[in-house]
Amino acid sequence: MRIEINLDVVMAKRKISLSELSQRVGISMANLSILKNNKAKAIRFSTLEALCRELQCSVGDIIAYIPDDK
Amino acid sequence: MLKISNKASANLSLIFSGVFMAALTVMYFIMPLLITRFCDVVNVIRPVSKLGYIYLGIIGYLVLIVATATDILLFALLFRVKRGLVFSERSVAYIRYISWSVFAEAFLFLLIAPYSLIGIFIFIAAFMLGMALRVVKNVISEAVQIKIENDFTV
Repeated sequence: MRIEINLDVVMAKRKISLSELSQRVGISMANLSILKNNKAKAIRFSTLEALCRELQCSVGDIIAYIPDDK
Repeated sequence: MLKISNKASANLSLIFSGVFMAALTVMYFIMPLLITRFCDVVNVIRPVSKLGYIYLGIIGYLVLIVATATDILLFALLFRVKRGLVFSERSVAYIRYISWSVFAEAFLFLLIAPYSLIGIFIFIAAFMLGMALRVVKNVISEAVQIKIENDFTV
């Protein structure tokens, strides 16, 4: 079981760069990069809210649950 | 009560480690004399053979070697404290090595117990210190995990 972050997929769909998203969300590029590369250990509700607002998507578009057997 | 800053405290610890290293260096040269004095004291209770003198000399030098290694580890740990890198896996590893070094010293002092009871007392004290360091290592290890989780919380 693992949690996967599909931020890069959503960003590609919206044609938005990391630096632009960083400015619009108010999170450093380093932290966004950690999130995009699936290195993050946790994510704040405020970060999720800002990402969903700016990318106009739902939480499920950004975060996916992958069961063990897949 | 006298309270000094963290930086000054780290510097003071570095000075203590430096002085201890200097003392250890001197002891490498005067160890035969120290062993002779120790044997003189022990001779009052029971005679120490030539083999016993060599045995105590080997233990004396082993104690010095382990103490030197421990002091080097302390230096490395203190430099990490000064650079703000104390909460890391490497620091935990250093504390683990230091605790094992203290356990090694404890057992080396136990080996001189047949000649002097002081060996048993030092063994108990050093073993207690080793156990305390193990607990500190466990605490720092938990703190490192919390720090990693905090650093990777976006």
